[in-house]
Amino acid sequence: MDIILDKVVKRFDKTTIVNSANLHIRSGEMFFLLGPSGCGKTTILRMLAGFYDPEEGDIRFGERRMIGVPPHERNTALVFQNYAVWPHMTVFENIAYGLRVRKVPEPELTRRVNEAMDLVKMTHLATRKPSQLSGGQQQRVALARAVVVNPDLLLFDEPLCNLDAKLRIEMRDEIQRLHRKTRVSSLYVTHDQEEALSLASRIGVMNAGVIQQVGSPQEIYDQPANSFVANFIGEMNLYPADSALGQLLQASKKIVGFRPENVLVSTTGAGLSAKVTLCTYLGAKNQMVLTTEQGQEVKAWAAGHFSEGDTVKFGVDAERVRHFDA
Amino acid sequence: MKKIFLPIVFLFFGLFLIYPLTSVLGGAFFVESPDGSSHFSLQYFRLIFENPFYRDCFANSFLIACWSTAVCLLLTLPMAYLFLRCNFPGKTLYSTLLLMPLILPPFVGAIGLKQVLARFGSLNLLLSSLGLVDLQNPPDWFGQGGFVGVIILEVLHLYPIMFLSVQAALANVDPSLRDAARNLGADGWRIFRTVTVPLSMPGIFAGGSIVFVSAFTDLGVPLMFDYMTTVPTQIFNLVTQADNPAGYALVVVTLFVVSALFLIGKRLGEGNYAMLARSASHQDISTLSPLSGWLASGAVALLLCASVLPHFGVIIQAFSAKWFMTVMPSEWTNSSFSEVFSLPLTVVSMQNSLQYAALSASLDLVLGIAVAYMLARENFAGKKMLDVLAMLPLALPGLVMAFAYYVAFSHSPFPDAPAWKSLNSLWVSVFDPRNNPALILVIAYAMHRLPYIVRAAYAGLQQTSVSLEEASANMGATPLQTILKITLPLISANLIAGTIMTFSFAMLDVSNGMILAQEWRFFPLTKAIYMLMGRITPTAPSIACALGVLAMIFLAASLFLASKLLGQKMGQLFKA
Repeated sequence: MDIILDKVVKRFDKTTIVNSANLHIRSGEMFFLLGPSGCGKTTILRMLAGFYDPEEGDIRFGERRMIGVPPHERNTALVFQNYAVWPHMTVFENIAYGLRVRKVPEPELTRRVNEAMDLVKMTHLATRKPSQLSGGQQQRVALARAVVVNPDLLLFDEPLCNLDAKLRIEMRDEIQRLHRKTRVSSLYVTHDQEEALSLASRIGVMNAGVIQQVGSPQEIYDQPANSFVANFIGEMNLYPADSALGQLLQASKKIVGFRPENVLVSTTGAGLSAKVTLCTYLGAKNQMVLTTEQGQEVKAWAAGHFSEGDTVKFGVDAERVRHFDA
Repeated sequence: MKKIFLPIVFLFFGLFLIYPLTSVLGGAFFVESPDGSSHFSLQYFRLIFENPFYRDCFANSFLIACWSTAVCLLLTLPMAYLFLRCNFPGKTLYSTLLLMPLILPPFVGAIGLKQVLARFGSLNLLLSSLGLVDLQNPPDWFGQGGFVGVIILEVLHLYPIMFLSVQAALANVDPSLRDAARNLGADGWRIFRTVTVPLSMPGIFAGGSIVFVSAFTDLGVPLMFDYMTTVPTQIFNLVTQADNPAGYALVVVTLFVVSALFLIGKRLGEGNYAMLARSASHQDISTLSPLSGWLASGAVALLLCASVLPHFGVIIQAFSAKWFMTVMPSEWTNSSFSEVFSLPLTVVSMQNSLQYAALSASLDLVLGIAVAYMLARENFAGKKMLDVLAMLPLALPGLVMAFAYYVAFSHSPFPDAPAWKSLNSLWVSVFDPRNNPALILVIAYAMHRLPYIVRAAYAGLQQTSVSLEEASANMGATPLQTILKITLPLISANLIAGTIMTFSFAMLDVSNGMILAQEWRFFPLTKAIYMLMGRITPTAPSIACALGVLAMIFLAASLFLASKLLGQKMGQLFKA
């Protein structure tokens, strides 16, 4: 189902949290909202779930206008950051809850719950209470509970941020597998760019209540719309147009930038002279900070043998240089 | 939820809390002139303070409260420290037994204690048979016409509450704060004096003020000792004389004393930083050496023995057929118990109490959940006010509320004009306690315990993450389904325990029943016991005690049930 936010504004007291947001989540895609804490992404998610209504604008699920529709009549399914698995119910009952509310007959209910438990590999723990489960297992229950009701829209509220690094990658694959299988329109909110780049059909980058850019992961990474997006997704060297490097790079707009992995560093070749002022060896590459003769710093990632204090030459492929208005 | 319950709840508080209080305040501060108009005046207060008799009443009540609090504190502070920091033989058993005094209304205990400690009671007779006491001039354990007796009973009844508050207050002090003092070279006593006690002061003061207020306003015990020169007994005497302003003034002064304590307690509580960073280190518990362990155990056992003396007396009296000038009864019987179930007064009073208690507990359950839910989960104008209203009954002693209900509902507030006639008669038939006190009694009991249920439910809701409810709404459950299937099951233990407590305290309340029930067919259990004690038939005390024993068994059972449901959180129910 297509999900549309049309010029949505949300305020708490007098603070504007979401400012005129337009979004179109296409049927069956995994849409990511990516942004720093407090940027308003969770607010958008909660407006879609129906926990808040916007002050202005419109929200539509397909043709249906959703403003004023209470959460329980929306058929969305939310995977909570803190799992929100009910502690007084078994795994089975947690997953069955949405189906019981929907008055699904008992044989079908059992079948669907079992399928869902199978999907997240929790069948053997069906009779356990949440207190007997690990964090990862509770998250699986939350996932199964959301998927089992066949929601029109699946919502993820930073579902992996309470898990350790290894489990996070495991669950990420799990979610990807689940989405491929169900093809439910999904909105996934996170501040973790790696999650976004690896899972997303498309990404919306948000900052300070405003959606900065919407596009595929590649578009966002290669063609960032502004310096915020450029610096939030991956890293980027950014210089004002009137600075020494800015002039050298023939900046056509206010800000010019390039990514550290696009800097070519050598000890002998052509290019600008600079000193290595910081060098962190990471095996496959060095993460370096170079300081030019004019005193400007350049982040550069390059393989090879470099150490702090070396004088090097560096250059940037002109095609890789980006120009921003802001 | 909000739209339906908010008006009901505010109406309830307006009619049954604000209106009675303003009635009392109005009666105390507004003096009617001969021409029918009324004006503000402090003349009633001058009247009672210029009257030497009322001055004595205040002095006595104040001294009773001070002594009770001081003795309770002296008993419980070392004991709480002992229980918290040391292991000694019998500790687990004792910590349950220490709650025992709570299962007997103190004025029933007074009957038992009188048998044991009176001039010709068991103790003196026993001592005289040992040649230690001269029966021509036996020692008077109750002292000064019952003054000491009242204090003994108040202490024996109230020290468990003090114990629980002090223990919790001490336990809340972050152990790392003590470790810091030890690290800088302070010894145990110095740490106790300079760190532990100052940091637990708010909790100790809170416990102390409960004891103080309970002792100050307790009606049953002085009545039983026929010790009439106290504030509560005078309020009781004045209640039926609605035109006598002294009763109003006494109640309002009592209210001032209580509010002052409450405000001081609140000020103390504001600087409460004892709870910071608690998880950092754990309480260290030392095991006492065998000798000091048994000494500690013996001391606690001694206190326990003293505190079951009243119970003991009540039970013996209930089974005695003849008990006069002997250490133990000379003849035994169990006919008192069969009498309890055949005498109209006792049968009716038991039925009444069960009804009143069941109704008030159900009312509290519904109101408590509604208020707590709105406070914890909803936003609306007047939320602060609802919070204050819901907690206000905590600050109002039962005696004050009972008096307020009596004066507020025994007269219709509408003008005495023909146009209002039907409303006036409706008011009288529904509310007037002289007519039928059942409704007002139920509401009085419910109001008194409502803060406890609200707090229990509120705490449950606070501990329950909102996202558990959101998850349910998100799964398609209606708000009502969510409350029934998610919210209530999660807080049910708190609710059931709170309801049991309301029920049992309603069963054993004294002041409301004494003041509001004026006709025997409406008497609750406690007033029936009081009336039986006033009878001169020789079997009456035994029947009264048999009723008391039933009440004890009953309250013990409900406390046991509540503690099973609440587990370790039992102590919370007794703290204000």
